[in-house]
Order: sequence, then C-alpha cells, then structure tokens
Amino acid sequence: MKPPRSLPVAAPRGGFGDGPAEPDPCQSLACPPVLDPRTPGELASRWAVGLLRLPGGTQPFTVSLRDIEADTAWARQVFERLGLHRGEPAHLIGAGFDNALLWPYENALMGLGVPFGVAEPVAIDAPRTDMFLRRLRLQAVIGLSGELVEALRTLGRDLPTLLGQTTLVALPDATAALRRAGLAPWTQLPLGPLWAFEPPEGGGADYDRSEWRVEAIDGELRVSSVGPRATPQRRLATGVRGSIAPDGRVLYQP
Amino acid sequence: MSPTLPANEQRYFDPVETLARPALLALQQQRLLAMLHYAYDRSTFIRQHWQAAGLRPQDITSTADFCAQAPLMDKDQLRDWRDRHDDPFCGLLCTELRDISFIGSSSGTTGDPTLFSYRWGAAGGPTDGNQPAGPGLPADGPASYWGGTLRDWWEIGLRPGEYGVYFGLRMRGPMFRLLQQLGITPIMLGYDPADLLHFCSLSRQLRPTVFYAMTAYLGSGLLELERTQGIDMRDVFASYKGILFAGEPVGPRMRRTFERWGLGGKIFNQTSFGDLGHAHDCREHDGCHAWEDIGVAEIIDPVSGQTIGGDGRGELVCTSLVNPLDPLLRYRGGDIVDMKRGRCECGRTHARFTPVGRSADEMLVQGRSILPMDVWGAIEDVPATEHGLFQIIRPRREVDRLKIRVGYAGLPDLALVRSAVADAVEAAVGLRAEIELVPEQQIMASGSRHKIPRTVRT
Repeated sequence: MKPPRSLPVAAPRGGFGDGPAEPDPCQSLACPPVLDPRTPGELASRWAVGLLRLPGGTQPFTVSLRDIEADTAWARQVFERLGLHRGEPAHLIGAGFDNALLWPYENALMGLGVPFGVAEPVAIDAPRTDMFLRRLRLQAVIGLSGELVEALRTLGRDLPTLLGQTTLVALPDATAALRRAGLAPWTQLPLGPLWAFEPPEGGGADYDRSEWRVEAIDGELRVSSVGPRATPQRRLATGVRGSIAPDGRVLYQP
Repeated sequence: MSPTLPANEQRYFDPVETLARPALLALQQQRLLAMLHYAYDRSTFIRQHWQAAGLRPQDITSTADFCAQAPLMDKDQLRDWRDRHDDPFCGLLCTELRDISFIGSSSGTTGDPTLFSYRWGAAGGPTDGNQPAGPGLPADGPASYWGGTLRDWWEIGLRPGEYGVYFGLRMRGPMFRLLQQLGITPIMLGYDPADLLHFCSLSRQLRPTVFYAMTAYLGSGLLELERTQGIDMRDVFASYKGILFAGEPVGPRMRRTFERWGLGGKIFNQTSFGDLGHAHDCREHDGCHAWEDIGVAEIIDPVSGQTIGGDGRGELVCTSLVNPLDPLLRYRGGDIVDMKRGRCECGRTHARFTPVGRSADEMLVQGRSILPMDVWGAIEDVPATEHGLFQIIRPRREVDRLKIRVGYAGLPDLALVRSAVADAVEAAVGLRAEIELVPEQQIMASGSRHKIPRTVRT
C-alpha cells in the first residue's frame, strides 16, 4: 500500500463563479491520497473520502475502516462520560458532508442502544431540532451550533425551557449564548479531523490521544496523527487559538 | 452480514426483480396478510383506525379484499393522533423505543416533520453499524433499505471498487452505507461553493460512477463554474454511469444541460415510494420501480378516494410489507403519479410509476389545473431565470390569478425579465401570470438545498 500524500488546500471562494475566468483550475490540484479503485479488497483502506474544513480552505482526506472503528471506540467513551443511557433518545446534530467524522458517533450511539434523531447545524433546519426537542424527552443534544441556537430563539423558544432538562454538547460558537441562558453545556471543539470535548466545569478539552496529538505552536492548535490513519497529518493548522494544559488537555481561546 | 453481490456482468441484483407476475403477487399477498395481523396487534393507530372502519385483519383474505375494504390513512390523521396522544411516533410504532437505532424525519415542508424509524441489524442482534452492513429487515426481505434497495443502485451499473459522489443530507439516514455495501467508496461533499470545485477535481482524479443527489441548486453552481471558470463538464462527468435527482425532479432545461455534458440516458430519478422508502427508475427510464415484494402500490382518485384499477393517473397509495417498526397500511402521501403495471423493457415484472406532482401543489386557476412542472420549463427558458428557481404562490387551491415568485441571477433588466417570464408562462399554460422577481438566493434560502418548496402560501 502506498502511503497517502497530502493535498494542497483549495482557495476559499465566496460564491458560485466568483473571480475572473481562468484556465481550468482543477488541473492544478494534486491527486488525493487514495488507491487504485480497481484494486479488489481495498474498500477497507478507503472507507470514504471527505473534506476537512480548515482556515485556509477545504482539503480532501481519506478514512479507512480502521480509522472509523478507532473513532467509534473513542466516541463510545465520550458518550459514556456524558452518562447516556440505553433506550432513551438523543439528538445528534451535524452536517451531511461531515459524515466521515459523524458516523463513528452515530455508530457509537447504536452500539450503546441509544436511539437518535439527526438534524443539520444550520438555521434552516432549526424546526427539525425544535421538533425533536418538543416531542421527545431527549437525554442529550449533541452538536448544537451558534446558528441553530439563534434560530431557536427566532422561533420564539425559551432556551432554558427547551434545553434545560437535557445534557447539552455545543460547538464553541454556541456555548456563550447557552451559558448566558443559564445552561451548562459541554463544549465540542472541532480540530480539523477530530473533535475534542470539554466538560461544563472546564479544565480543557480531551481528545483521543491514541490517534492524535495536539500541540500549540505560536498560539495555534495543530494536529498530528499518532495512529495509522489513512491520511496522516503532521502539525495540521486548525485555526483554533489555544494552549495545552500540563495534563495534555486542550485549552482553547474562544 | 453483507449481502452476496452478483457477478459484475449480471443486470439483476435479486431474482425477485424478474419473478413471474403470478408468483410475485402471491408473495406480495402472503406478506400482506402477515403484516396486517402484525401491525394491528402492535400499532395503536392502525388498530383504532381499523376498528373505526369496522374491520379486523381476519376479515381480509386477499390483496383484492384489502384494496377494496381497508381504510386509507394520511399524514393529517397521523399528525392529529400525534397531537392528541402526545405520541411523537403517531401511534405507528410496533416495537419499544429501545429497539430503534435511528429516528429519521420527513422534510417538514407541510408542518412539523414526522418521524420514521430504523433498526440496525436484526432484533436482539449486534448493533455495530459497521457490521452487519444494513438495517434490520426480515431474513427474506430486500438487501438494505436506506433510501432504496441495493437492487436500485446495482441497476444503475455501480460495481465494487468504484467511487460515488455523495451530497447527502442526514435526515433520511446514512444512505452512503448503501454505496459501501456495494463496495463503493463514497466521496462526501457539501453545499459550500468550494465543494463544487473539489467535486470537479475529484471526479477527474477518481473517476466516480454515480452522483447522489443532484439538485437545482448544485446544477446551477456547476453551470456557473462552466461559464466563469471554463471547466469542461463533459470531462468531469466522463466516468459517470448515473446522476440521481432526489427531492425534486430535473427541469427540462437542466436536463438538456446534463445531456450536453454527456449524461443523456444517465439521469435517474429517486422519488418517494409512498413514504415506505424510495423508488428509482431503471436504465429504461420508463418510470420508477415500485418493488411489489416490499410494498403494495395502488392509485386512487385524489378527490373521491376510489381505487383506480390498472394503469393510469392517480394518487399513489402504499402499504408496507417488510417494515417491522412503523408500517403504513394504505397510506396516501399526496403524490400524483402515472402508474404502469406491464412488464418493463428491462425485464422486471414490478409496477412502475412516474411522479407528475403533488396533490398539495396542484391549484386551479380560473378552473385550470396548474402544477409546478407545467411552468418549470418556461421559466428555465428565460436566460436570467434559467436555473429554474421559482415558487408558485398558492394561498388556497382555487385562485383567480396565477402568481409566481421567480429567482433571477446577475443584474438583468428586471422589467424585461418579468415580461419575458410572463410571456413564456403564458405560452406554456395559457394564463398571464403575475411575476414577482427576487434574487436567486432568496428562493434558495426558503428551503433546504435539496428541495425548494415549489408552492408557498404567501
């Protein structure tokens, strides 16, 4: 098996067709780290191709079945730490394009026997999250985004009433608003190809140290792979400011 | 356990696809009669709905009996049950909540989304989403059913070792797992404009064979990339065996664009199989196959509710045969279809249908029936509105004046565009419409990106 190669990052664009006409820009992108698709039995090594969303743009990456299984094991630890119970429903919010990151968390919920409903983390899908919150006694809502919290407010919802009886796990852009509403969310910190989780009482966000190492370089958190990932990373710039606590947890700066 | 895949050169995935019609109908009836007892005993909605109609499962001894006597059910009744009983599953659930793996939900276009459920793997079996490879269905049921069966995707020509582009939303479940069950690596992309550039690049490098799911929004973005960046879309799509439209059909002009990109005959339609799941067309493109070993597909007169026998146009009514969690019996979902029951040119013996609109979208303007598809091509034919982003204003079913909100691109002369769209619509349907022009983004922001509401109240 050839080792995967890293890819250049595509320049971010503001909208369809922005910028001047130019020669076909696709010609300049290098091959992604994947194997010959005609090779039998290689699906395990290229379970999916996704896009990492980084400060400088988006970057293709491959995940293997081994990666998925390792991430599922980590996700299960996260949910056990959250105290999720078998048989009680939860709500897992995330974007479809992030399936390569989300699926291990979905798979972990299934393994734990936690039925879950899903929604996208965007305002237009807020009625779906609202429906799940109103109609099911959710033991946890995972992946709340700032956009979604604001959209729930716009729908006229009182956040403590709607969210007060459930364990909350929110993206950094949502935690401040939730705390102002008197709620105590966990923080789900996206760091490129992984998520780190910080409990409501703070102290830093923990991550799967058997697969990744997070360092702070010039105040920016950077990610390297430790496990044999299909797409290895070396000091990947995450765009997140922060430092590393003595116990190894991530102290990010909102 | 993963299904055993047929040899690559075989066209059919499952022998049931070409089962002789008498044998197919016998299998259907056997499953139906078992399902009636199963659902009546477990679903509180079904039991009370049937009791109100004075009917018991033992009163039904054939599919013909069922279609003649069993009560219809619809989403309004389910929502009413949900609200009166504070039951989010509308009284349909035939199992305990703890036996469910995943709770999907409808688009919510017409109100609070309704729920449907899946269980991963067999009841009481392992619940590792990576093994077994599919949701729990009876042992003799179809291979998987996340947004269609593997037989639908196999028919497109997808084979192990290939790549598939996946612009999928999550609300219907992890449909990318179907691709993986066929040994295909999904390339997971999103609706960010930068993703479309990656789509072009990855298509050239990995040569995927399927695109799921194409929408007016994505098609518009690709057209803009072709126009402004000079990307050769024929090359981008050179390896594709199929692109699937889901959520809404492809408009006439968009279809011509894809044909220009070398995709003639490769445009597939994924549509709702009456909320039992999804149905796809085959390579003959003569309607979507309603797998009759999975469901009973009928058509009725949308006004009288009377059954329409044989082929023709009517409202689709479907019954679950293999769903152990929340089966539907004679469910009318509001889709108006053209039904055909003869053998398809592909050799399959199951019924097939072509969606022509939704009963909730139909309106009568000065007594004339108008559906979104009636004006779609006319709007696409005007250059500034060629992306086909529009909504018919439908405050009620019967109106005196046709009003359409149409999205435009760029900075055109709005008076000229308004006049051109009104002329085109008049030529298509014989009615002078009132046209409200808005920037395209306003239309796209009014719904999810895979499905724009084609009718709105205001």
